[in-house]
Amino acid sequence: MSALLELYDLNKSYKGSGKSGDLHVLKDISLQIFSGELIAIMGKSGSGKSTLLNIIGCVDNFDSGKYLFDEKQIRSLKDTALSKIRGKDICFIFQDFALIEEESVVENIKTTLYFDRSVSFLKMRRMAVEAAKKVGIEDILTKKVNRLSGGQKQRVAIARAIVNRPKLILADEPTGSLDSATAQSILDMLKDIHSQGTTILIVTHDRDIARQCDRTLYIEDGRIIDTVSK
Amino acid sequence: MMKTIRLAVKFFSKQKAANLLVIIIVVLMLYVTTIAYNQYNQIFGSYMYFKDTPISQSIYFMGREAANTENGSLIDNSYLDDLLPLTESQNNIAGVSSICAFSASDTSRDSGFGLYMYDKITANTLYNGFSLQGEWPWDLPLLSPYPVVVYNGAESRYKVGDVIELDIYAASPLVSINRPVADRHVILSCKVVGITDKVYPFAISANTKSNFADTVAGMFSGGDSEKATCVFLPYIDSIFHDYRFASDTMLIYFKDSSTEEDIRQFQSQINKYGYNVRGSEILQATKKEADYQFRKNFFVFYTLSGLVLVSLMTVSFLNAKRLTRTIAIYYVNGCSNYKAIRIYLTYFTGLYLLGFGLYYAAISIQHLLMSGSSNFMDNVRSYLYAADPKTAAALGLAGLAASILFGMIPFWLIRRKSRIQLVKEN
Repeated sequence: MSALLELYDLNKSYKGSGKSGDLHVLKDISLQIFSGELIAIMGKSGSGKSTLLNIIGCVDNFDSGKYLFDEKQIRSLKDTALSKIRGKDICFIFQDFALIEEESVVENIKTTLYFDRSVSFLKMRRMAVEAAKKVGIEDILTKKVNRLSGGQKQRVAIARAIVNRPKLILADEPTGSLDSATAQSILDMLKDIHSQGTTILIVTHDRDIARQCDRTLYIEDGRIIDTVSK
Repeated sequence: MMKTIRLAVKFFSKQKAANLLVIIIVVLMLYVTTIAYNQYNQIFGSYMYFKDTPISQSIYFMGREAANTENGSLIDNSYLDDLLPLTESQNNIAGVSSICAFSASDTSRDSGFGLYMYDKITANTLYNGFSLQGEWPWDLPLLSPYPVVVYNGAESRYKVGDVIELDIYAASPLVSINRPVADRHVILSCKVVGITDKVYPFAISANTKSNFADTVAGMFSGGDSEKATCVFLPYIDSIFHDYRFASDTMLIYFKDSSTEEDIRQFQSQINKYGYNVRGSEILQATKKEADYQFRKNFFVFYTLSGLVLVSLMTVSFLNAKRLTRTIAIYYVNGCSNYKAIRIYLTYFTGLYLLGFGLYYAAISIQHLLMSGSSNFMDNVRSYLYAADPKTAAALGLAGLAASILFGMIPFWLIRRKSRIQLVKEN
């Protein structure tokens, strides 16, 4: 297996946020994630796991260290190049879904496709319908998102994440707002996507979810303190 | 581009009430600016045009109002027998104007139009800076066929080289058919040597009888002749001498070397013949009137413009605040900063163009209705609503720049917040 992403001595601070000056949220993080892995990141609130996810997802920057994604040096890339990685190679799933509530399901699924030049305008709908079928929401395509249940919304978010067949899906507490039955069905769906070759990184507090992953990273106070493989 | 437009349309349909407000504000902004711009041109136009011309070094003269009972004319200009030799005897006088209006018809085409006859100084004053195809006639030899310049008005009747047989008669309202003057009719062969695409907005015939001219516009009274064909002919003394002062008004031009004292002294000599006032005084009065009108009208303009821009910014702020979360979601899903700005600009430009279209339709209809109205005041005020495509385009671009500037400020301010934070906000 080849490494999809590699982090070396990554550091991140928020200026003036700590009690005595800067808040050092990530400290010398080094990590390798391989293609096709299903990984959980666990840690207490404020441990730095979401910040790590945002840096990996290219929506936040870091102060020092090295980040290689698919052998590309992320630090040297400009906004336009980073946006291509975000839309094409890395997709997010959030606890609160991050959907555009007043738009229809199909329009939400198409979001990433709007920013991918390689996908033509006419092809977008067909791709969105395919993604919707994969997560079982093909019968609610024209419904407005604000009329859906939490479970349905998360399926829409997953469909949006997989529509462009990314290499990596970053899921930030994807089952945090759902009841246990719905949570398990969402997790099953993510495992199914993973089984088709997509690398998935899940930030979670739930040990049951972590147990179902290939590898679990434990973060405390900005450092990876333990790694447990299945 | 299709995708950008689609996303911009999504923005548009997302904020219907706010968009409607922006459109109304844009229409108001352009509407108010057009009226103010036209008003400014009207108020300052004549002052700016004449301030550096020989009029500033002239005396505007009107004969005393008195009827000549012998020939039935409403004016008694027997004083000319004394006044003209007096002007000729003065070394510091550059010339006396001949700005008489005549009516004329083209004998071969059976069509009538206005004929304006000027001396060289007045002609140069009035046509300074006007574009011309061909040449001006005032420096050409005054031999038959006599050189004329034509303004074609609404129709393209004449071109350079045409020969016109003009049937000319004195048309001053003060020399009416009921009060005829002898031999006021002449047929003249003329050759078109130039075509001008512009006519001075005031018809340049000083044919009103008044004892007071308070502004330069008052000196050159008359209506809007933009649609009428006009022929401009150099003053030919051997033919028009008797009609030269049919309108009883004239401008006496002084040489640049003349002193204040020279002019004042001459004024004291001609007081007995009629009303006279310094051209520079009239220009000052024009400026004063323009300043007054400017202050009066533009206070309203500035207040309205200020309100409009503040409203635009407020609406844009509220609008942008609602759109920011959507933009943040786009960002996380592969939208670059550059692309986000492009989408927002496309959306805002579309919004502005809708407003501009509405404005242009509204102001054109209003201008059309008012200029065609039988109500005199509506007709006169129709100039306020005139927006030719060039001016409208310039105004539109300036408005677009202002709108984008005011529309983008809130967008930039909001974008400073972390996008991931915005995405997580519900």
